[in-house]
Order: sequence, then structure tokens, then C-alpha cells
Amino acid sequence: MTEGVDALERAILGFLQEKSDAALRGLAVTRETPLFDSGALDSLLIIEFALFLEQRFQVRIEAHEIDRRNFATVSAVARLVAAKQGPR
Amino acid sequence: MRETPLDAGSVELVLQSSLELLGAYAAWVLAAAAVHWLLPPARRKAWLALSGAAFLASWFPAPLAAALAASTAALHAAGARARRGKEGWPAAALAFSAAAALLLGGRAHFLRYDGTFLVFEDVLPALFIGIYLKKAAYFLYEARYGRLPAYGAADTAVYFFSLPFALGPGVVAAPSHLQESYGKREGRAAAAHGLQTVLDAVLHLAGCWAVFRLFGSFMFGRELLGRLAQGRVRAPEIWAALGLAYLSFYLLRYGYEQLCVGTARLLGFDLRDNYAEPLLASSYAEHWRRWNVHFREMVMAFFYYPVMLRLARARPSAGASNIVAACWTTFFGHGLFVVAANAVFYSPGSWPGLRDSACRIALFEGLQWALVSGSLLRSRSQPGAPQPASGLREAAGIATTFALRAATLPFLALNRKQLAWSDVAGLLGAAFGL
Repeated sequence: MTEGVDALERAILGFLQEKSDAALRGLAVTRETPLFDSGALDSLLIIEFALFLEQRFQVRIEAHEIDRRNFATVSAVARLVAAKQGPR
Repeated sequence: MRETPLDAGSVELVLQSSLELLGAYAAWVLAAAAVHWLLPPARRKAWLALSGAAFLASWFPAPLAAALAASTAALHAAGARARRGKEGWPAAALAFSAAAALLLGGRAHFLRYDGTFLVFEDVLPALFIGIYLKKAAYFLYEARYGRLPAYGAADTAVYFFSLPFALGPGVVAAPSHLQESYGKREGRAAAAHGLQTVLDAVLHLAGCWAVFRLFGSFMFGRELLGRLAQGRVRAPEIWAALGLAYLSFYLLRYGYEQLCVGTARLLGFDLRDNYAEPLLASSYAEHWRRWNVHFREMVMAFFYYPVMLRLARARPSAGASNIVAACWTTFFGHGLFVVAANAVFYSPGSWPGLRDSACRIALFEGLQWALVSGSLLRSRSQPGAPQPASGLREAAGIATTFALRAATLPFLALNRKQLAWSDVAGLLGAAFGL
């Protein structure tokens, strides 16, 4: 399960490092970067991000799941996806 | 019904009422904080709920207090049913509607027409109910989606009746955030953090007062409007007036709402700030992200995410129209909440005032929709990976955003008593050299 979450985190991190403009403001997106508070996820990118998660990991992200808790950090998002995928 | 301009007596009544309330509120905060930290942790929330409810009840008419208590009990029961996986919405909606009908039936209002003047009264109930409406919706939403797994009666009572959360639009915080933020700082650390926030808020309010004191007659005053009518005002002067009005508006909102955040922090709730330096936003969409953060999050959860996610799945190639549609829904919903909150400020019979208020809000929300949508579409139109902006471009973005925001402000003051349509048209026409 831990290895699965690690792989998820790497994929998620790769997406955000490519797409987010946080680096332009001197912020490196890491696994524990606060995604909401830092502005790394804006209102357009968060939707693109949710669709990326759905397509890449074959899960369904509900609108009410987009919140500060589930999308707090890369690790939190990975946990959400892992929970949706269930034990492998 | 004939409408009468506000007279000096009405304004004095408002000031007197506000000062009495402020004094009582400050006394409550000091007493509540002292007792709160002296009590054992298990009893602190009950104390906050009880002391807050007692304070409010002393200012409210008895039928109103009873209606609010019944409505809150129904909301709590609905939340508990939702947590058990049962549908609690119909009962809660019924109870809530009944309470709202009672409230709007004349038990709580802020403006009353006495035959000669519009009279201000009952400021506290009107203020409270405006906030209560939003919080009830947020509470039901979070309960419905399982975000309040261990929300007891004391939590519900604190959320609705403890004073820092009852009076400030800035602290329409998510109930789950309130619960999670409690106890992160203890005793002296919480008190120091809270006092620092309160001091910061008071400094902002003092700044607002200073701007009014120094430039009050200049900002949209009769003198400026008189010269505008005679064509004797130039664009830089209009922009200075707009900028100062916006600055004072920001200082007032920040001060008032952070005062509530600071009070909450004094009592152990480590709430997030409600403003994230919006004056430094370099685009209009970013400005909206940084302004009134708590309420924005609620509106985004209710309207933007569901609509935008559904549209993006159904029509992935229609990016621009998806943005415009999702933003329209978001600002329409935002406007509905604001109109509903404003409605309690008008007593039955004051419909012209309520209609004016609704028109003004609709117009302002329409402008916000256009500006935020435009800003998002502009950011989306830049191809490839995000590119760094030069310092000059960043500064130009900040100045443009400030100017746009300042230019929308006259629409918020648009009514028959402050600014007429012709005044707003004249101001903006002169500002943009039309």
C-alpha cells in the first residue's frame, strides 16, 4: 500500500510541477506544500487536476471532495486516490 | 410608500446603537475569554455557547430568540441524521423555512419607515440573521457530505451562537474548519495570537477612519459630484477619489472581519485569515481568490466546483464557455446569498429599498462575473507552461486590478440616497475619458 501511495505521489507531483505557476512565485511544489493556501492550485488548475486524477488513476472525484482537507497537499491527494482505488 | 433621505437623527441612532453594541461586545469578549481559559477543557465549548446565546438573547425579541433556537435544533437534528446516512434535508428545510418566514415577517429588521423617516433599529438581530442564513446552508452542506463526523450539540451551538461566529461576515467559516482549528493553540499562545490579530484589525479600522477624516469630503462627496455636473473635474481627480474610496472600503472590511477572527483566536479557534493581501493581486481572478476567503470557499463548494467539473467532463473542448457558465452560476449564487442576507435589513413595506438593494447587488455581481471570467480566460489563453512575469508587468497587473476594483465600487453605493445612476455614469465616464 505504501509503495502504491509513493507512486501516486510521484505522478501527482509531476503533474503539479509541470502545470502550476507556483514556482514562478518562488515556491517549490513538494509533497507537503499546502496546495490551497500557497495558490499552487487555482480555480482552473484544480478542475484540470481533478480530471487528470480521474483519467490517470481511473477513479471518480466528486465535486464535494474538492476541499482543503482532501486537496491539502500532494500526500493528502494521494491518500484520497488510494482510498478510492481500494486495497490492491 | 414615500422614501425619505436619511437624516442626521437616523445616523445618530445608528452610531449610538453601534457604540452600545461594541461596548457590550468588548465586555463579553474579555469576560468570556477569561472564564473560558479558567474552565477545564471539557466544559469550555458549552461555556462559549451558553454565554454567547445569553448575550444574544438579551438583545433579541423573545419570539425571535425562540425561533432561532428551534431552527438551530432542527438543523442539528438534520445534521445528525445525515451523519447516520439518513436524509435529513426535508425536515431541516421545513424548519428553516418556517424560521425564515417568521424572521422576515417583521420580527427582525434594521430599517423601518415611521411615516416620516427611515429609522434604524434592531441592528443586532438583522446582522445576526444575515450571517445565520449563510451558516445554516454551510452547516447542512458539510453534514450532508460527511465532513462533520463528530459534531456534538455543543459544536453546533458554538457555531451558531458563540459571538465571534455570530456577528462577522468574515467568519462564515466552514463548521469543520471551526472544529479542527479549536485547541491548536492553548492559553497564552492563543491569547497572544488573538490580541495580535485584534490589534491589527483595530489599526486597519483606524486607517479607514483616517482616510475618511482626511479625504471623506473628496470621495464621492456632494462637492465632487457638483463639480462633476459642471464638467469641472478631470480624470486623475476621479481616479484618486475612486482609489481612496476602495482603500477605505478594504480597510473597513478587513478591520471588521479580522476583529471577529481575532476574537475567535482569543478563544482558542485558530481560524485562517479572511484576506490574503488582495491589494497585491495582479489579476482580477486572483483578487477574488484573496478577498473574503471564507465566504468565497463556501460559494466555490456550492456552485463552482459542481458546475465546472460537470461541464469539463461533458464538454472538455468547450473550455471558454465552460468558464463563463461556471462563473455565471457562481456569482449568481453569491448574489443570492448576499440579497437574502440584505433582505433581513428591511422591514415589510420597505420594498422599494429592498428592490434597490437587489438591483444594486445584481449589477455588482454581474460586473464581478464579467471581470473574473475575463481574467480567467486571459490566463487560459497564454499557451504552454506558465512563464514568469517581469517586475514591470507584475506592477502593471497590480495597478490595473486595483483600478478595476475601484471602478466597480460606485455600483455598490448606487441607490437613490448616495449615488444616482447619472452620478455613476458621470464618474466612470470622466474616469475613462468618455
